[in-house]
Amino acid sequence: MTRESKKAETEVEWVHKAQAGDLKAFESLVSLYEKRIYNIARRLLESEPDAEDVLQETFLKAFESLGKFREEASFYTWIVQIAVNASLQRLKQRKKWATVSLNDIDERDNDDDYRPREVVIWEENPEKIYSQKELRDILNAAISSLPVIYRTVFLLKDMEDLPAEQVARILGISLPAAKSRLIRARLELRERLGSHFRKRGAESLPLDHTHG
Amino acid sequence: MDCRRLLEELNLYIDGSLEKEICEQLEAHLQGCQRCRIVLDTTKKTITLFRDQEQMEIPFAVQERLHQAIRAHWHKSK
Repeated sequence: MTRESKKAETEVEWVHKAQAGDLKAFESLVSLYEKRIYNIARRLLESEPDAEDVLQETFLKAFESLGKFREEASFYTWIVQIAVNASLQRLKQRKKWATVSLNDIDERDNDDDYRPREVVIWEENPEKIYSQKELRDILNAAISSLPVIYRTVFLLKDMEDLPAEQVARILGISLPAAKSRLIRARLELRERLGSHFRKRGAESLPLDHTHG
Repeated sequence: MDCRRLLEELNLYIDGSLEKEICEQLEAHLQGCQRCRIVLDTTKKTITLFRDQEQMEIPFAVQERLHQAIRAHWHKSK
């Protein structure tokens, strides 16, 4: 048995015990995932107190709804969905959506969005140009500046390593929509990091329309 | 394959799930297109930089409050 399947089996066992009212089993599930849920909420909300609220809300809601958990997805996917919904709800309350309404999203769906604006070679090891703290600040600033719909997909797919199908399911969007947001998220972040990591003296390549 | 098509397939290529035939077309395009090579390299690097970020620790007090809230909830439900 692989480590992953062993872990999944333990998780299922804990879920069943927790559903039967075993507090210790539920706390084991909390301990296993609390850090990841906290990080998702922190990165989505950029606020420690709000992340704490979402962390509590997620696990209390999971506790209350354990009986409804049907194992169609993994327990982790299920609680991520609760945490993401709670976070997005808070963002809506903060009216941060003002600039990212659903209409805006539709308008962004055109081919030009796929076109990189700046193409320039990066330093060989960009992470070595900066201190750990500087690098963290650069990455945080880049991801913070990303519209929420792209940030969420990138966070779940590329940072949390969830399959695209699960990301789509969590966000209640189609798989093509999740994939299209992911490519935009990746390319937007690439653009934002370019100014920090470009190779010294390197020129940006001109836009080449001949290649389509 | 042209640059536009390459960008459409970039996700699958990076994630290693592109069909073999399209993968070969994409790699053939990369051979002759420096722009796309740079876009691919820097996009891959972008993902790696974020993926390698350490997770933030939960402050101890936050963790304590979470577990207390869960225990309180459990006792209330009994």
